[in-house]
Amino acid sequence: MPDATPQPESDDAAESTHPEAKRVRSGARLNVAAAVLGWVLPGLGHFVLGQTARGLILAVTIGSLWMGGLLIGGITVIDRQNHPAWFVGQMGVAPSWVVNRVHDNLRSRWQREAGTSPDAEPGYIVAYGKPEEQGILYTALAGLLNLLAIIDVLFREPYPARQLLDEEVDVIPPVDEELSEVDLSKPRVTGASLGRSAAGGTA
Amino acid sequence: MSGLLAYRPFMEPLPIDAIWLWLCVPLVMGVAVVYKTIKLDDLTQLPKEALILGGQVLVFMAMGMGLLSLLTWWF
Repeated sequence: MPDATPQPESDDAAESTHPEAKRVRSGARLNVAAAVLGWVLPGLGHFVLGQTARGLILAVTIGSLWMGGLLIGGITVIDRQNHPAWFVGQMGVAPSWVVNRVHDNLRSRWQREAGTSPDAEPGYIVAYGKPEEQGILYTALAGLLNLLAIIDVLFREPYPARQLLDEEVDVIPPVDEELSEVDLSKPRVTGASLGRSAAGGTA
Repeated sequence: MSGLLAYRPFMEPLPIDAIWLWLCVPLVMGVAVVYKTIKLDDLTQLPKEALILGGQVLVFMAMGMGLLSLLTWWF
């Protein structure tokens, strides 16, 4: 006959259901999602975490470097086939994959047409020399800088508002304090009590 | 000029052979801005800090270039 008395929860089970553990887990999930978004579009990860200004600055700066590289050298600077090592760096910005696909498609079409018509043109001009160097450098550096931003997103606190709640900002007077002693010009409420009252509990 | 008129953005490279060395300036400033954006807690300090960092990198690059030119000339 099995024992019907409820057993105390194990430490692991208690930890997994603890509100703080849940908060950490959901925060970590948000960080990972933000990092993926930051990879798709530079700065979007910070934006999702509530770091609007930081995200905007990163989007403009990394985006300008990446677009600048493409303007300098054209789409041929992103080429997995001929520059595989540089392509690894360029893939720090996900749209590089799209540009590589466009480049691949144009090249394949040109190679197919060249088989039937010797006058066929690729539709783009391949960059050589300095334009190629600078274009590759700009796009690869944009990718590596975005990688830095992605790592930052992974470890950044996702809830700026919670930081304020967790801080010990003394705003509610202690119960044993007399009303006459309370300085009304300085409202004092603890962040912790705010959290409790917001959750429907007693402060 | 006629070449520029037919220029198709992203499909053709820009003629930058005469100015390519100056392209390191926006590149370095971009790196400085991104680094300081991630590093700083208070973004109001960003323009000043990024300018200082970018300036330092450019100065040391110029010094390195001068030193290498001197060594090349000397030997």
